[in-house]
Amino acid sequence: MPELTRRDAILKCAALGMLTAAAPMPLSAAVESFLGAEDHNLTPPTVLGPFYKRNAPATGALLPAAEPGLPLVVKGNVWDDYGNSLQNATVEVWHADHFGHYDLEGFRCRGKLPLSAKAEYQFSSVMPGHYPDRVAQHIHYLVTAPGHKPLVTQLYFATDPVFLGDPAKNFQKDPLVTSVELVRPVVLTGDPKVMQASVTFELVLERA
Amino acid sequence: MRMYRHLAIFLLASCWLCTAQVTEFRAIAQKDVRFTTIVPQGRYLAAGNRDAMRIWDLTTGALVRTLENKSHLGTSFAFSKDGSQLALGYKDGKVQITSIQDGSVVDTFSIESRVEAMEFSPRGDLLAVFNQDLAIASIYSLQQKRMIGRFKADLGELEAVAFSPDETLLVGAADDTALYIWEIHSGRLLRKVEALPVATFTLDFSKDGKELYIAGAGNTVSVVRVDTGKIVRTLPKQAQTIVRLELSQDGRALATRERHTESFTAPAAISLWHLAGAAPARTYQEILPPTSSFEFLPSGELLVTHVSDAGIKVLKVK
Repeated sequence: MPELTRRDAILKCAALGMLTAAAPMPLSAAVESFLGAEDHNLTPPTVLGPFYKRNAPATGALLPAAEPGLPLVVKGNVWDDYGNSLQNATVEVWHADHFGHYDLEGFRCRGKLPLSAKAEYQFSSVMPGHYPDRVAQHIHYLVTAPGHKPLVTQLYFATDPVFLGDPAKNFQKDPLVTSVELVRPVVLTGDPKVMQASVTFELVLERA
Repeated sequence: MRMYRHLAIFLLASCWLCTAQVTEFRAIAQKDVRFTTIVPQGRYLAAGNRDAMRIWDLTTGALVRTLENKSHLGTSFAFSKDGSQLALGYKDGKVQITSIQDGSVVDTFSIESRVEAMEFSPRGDLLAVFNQDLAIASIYSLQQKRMIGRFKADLGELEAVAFSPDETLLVGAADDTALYIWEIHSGRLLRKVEALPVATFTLDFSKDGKELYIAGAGNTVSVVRVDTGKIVRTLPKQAQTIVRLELSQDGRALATRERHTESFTAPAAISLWHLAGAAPARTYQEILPPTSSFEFLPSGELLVTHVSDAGIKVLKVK
């Protein structure tokens, strides 16, 4: 008898009534959801840091156009650890500007991000600058969702010179980088005169 | 002549907002100084670097004690408010409390991880100990010789704590921008105050325990009523993040220490405010490196340290 794949096994279980979807849901979607769970490891947490500011505006455009710095787009999804998308999550982000300065007077480089029906988020800004007391460029995240533990984390960039081109080996050059999973690849597009950086960063929350 | 002109410009630049009288109180010849702390009540000066802390008697200038830290296991220290005891915290979670006068060990205990920071209560009965990631403040009773409470913010790290003058309340300021007012004996959260939109890094109770002076990333000192959580007064905005504030014993003066927002090493201001008039008035300000510190004397005068290659100068600001 040929060995069953994991997908086959789940489909067989479903056919035998061992798997049921709580809400009306196509079987293929339930299987995808179940299989997807394996791929949704919790996003590693890090510190909140001293520059959080309450009441950030609801926007995905963190800076007006033509601000100094490399234009940056970050996108991703908000999941729970079972692979369910969390449409009712709140995602707040904040970071230093190109010159390494946090805006504590206003809300430059700060925003509460709108989520799509599939719990996708996206924001535009510039690549954060370095500043003297922090080794790596980073973007702070505070993610909350009803029934889930708050996620406080930070996004880092594989192109950051501090990682010397090898984040897997050098991510701890910044002691606050708790996991190499937080160092994401950067895709550069455009020509050298009009360059843009894009990063994907998935957010996975733990059920409370 | 040119040298004198440079000196005059330097003096003007380094103390550009002095209406107070500044005199030299004590000079200590000590090299390679990376930190200074004037012990509460102003009797002793502690200073040193990663390898050792030295303590001098400020009335005589005599070196009282040298505490070696060659293994670099020491991570933090705090002095009791009466200036008689020193708590030393270590990487392995150990805390040792010693008498400054005779160097004897008064008490020893441990927490579960590296000691990051400590704070004595006003009477010296309690010691708040921050753990490695600053998420938890544990309260140790020096009378009962045991931990009597653990306090944690909902989100983020605790930046500072303050005990009420009667030692019944502990207020914690967290990076989530909230102030947490806990009852120490029950461990109950009495109130979560969201007075400011940004984090508070330093706080002190008024002498009657009814108000809290708070400051931090907003570059401003605000006065908050403990019972309502409302801001009742705000001092003029300062240039940088405020990382330390302290009220004089009579509550008529306030000193603040600023820090460059993104750099721990850049020079920033130490200021003295008189609170007794109709409006707070700043009578002294100097831009000084982070090695400088300050402390009020019981008389209300402020001692400020200056560190240079020649040693440490302690100035008295009146």
